[in-house]
Amino acid sequence: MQNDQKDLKGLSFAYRISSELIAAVIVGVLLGLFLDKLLDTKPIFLISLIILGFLAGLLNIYRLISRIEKKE
Amino acid sequence: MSKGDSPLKQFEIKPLVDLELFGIDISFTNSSLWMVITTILILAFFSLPFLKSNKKTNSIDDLYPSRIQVAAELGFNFITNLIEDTVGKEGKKFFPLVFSLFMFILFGNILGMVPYSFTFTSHVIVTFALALGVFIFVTVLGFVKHGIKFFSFFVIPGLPWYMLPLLIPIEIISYLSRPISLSVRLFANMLAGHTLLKVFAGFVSALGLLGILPLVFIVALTGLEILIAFLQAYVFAILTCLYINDALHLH
Repeated sequence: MQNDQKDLKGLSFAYRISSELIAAVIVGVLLGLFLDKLLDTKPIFLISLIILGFLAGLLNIYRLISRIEKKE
Repeated sequence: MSKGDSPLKQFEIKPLVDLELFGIDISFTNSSLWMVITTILILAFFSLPFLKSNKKTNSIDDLYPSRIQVAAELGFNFITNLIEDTVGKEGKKFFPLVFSLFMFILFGNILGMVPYSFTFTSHVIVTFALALGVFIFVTVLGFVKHGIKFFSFFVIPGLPWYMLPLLIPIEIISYLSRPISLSVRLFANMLAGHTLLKVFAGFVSALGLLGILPLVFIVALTGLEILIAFLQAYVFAILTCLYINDALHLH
């Protein structure tokens, strides 16, 4: 049972890492498009928020992995 | 494969009872039907084993829990341990939320594996509504618990001030990405798995005698799908716990 739980946790981390990266970029794109439409500054916010979204995704993954290391 | 049998046909939403309220289409669809079935099954699973314990027959059988009761208690213990591991003692009062989310998604995923059923978790709007509910709940919880101090969640402690203009937007995007990553992960896994099953099922009849090979593959894939059905419900529950934990203890 103990071993099963550990396997489950490992698999769940794998699924989370893959989705965390895209989710942050999606948020960056949506927020960028919204702000550009609102302020009429076409590609500026879109480009900068995609980059920030990518960085946020990396930060999320970094936090996830440091959480695994803390537990072990 | 004829034209009507697209592997994506299984995800079609068909209205069963047409309803309209203030110009908004609120028809009772096959998706809603399976949500109702899921809810009824969960209620039955958790209330039936405990009904008979009211009658006292004074026989030795009363001392032993029935098999279904053990299964139900296993589910209870699983979520209790999960909350205690991630949130701690304070998390006890959020047990109903996490437990009902876990059970709803788990039963929805598993029922989706039954032939001719409908997998409502394979629709992004369903999973996004669930994730958005969690997101709003966690945000409100943070504000109730910490008041205006909740905004310090977006500031990493011990950082030089000139890094803040760059890192606060990153933190806000990272916070907003939570419901997206929750919903996309669940729906994409269910959608991809069920589509893959249907695509390989199409090969079985197309290949004739060689069709035994994709058939064997489908059997293995069905086992994997059931694992994924459980795992995605588990991930959704554990992330809800982690978000509650973040809202209760900032950093």
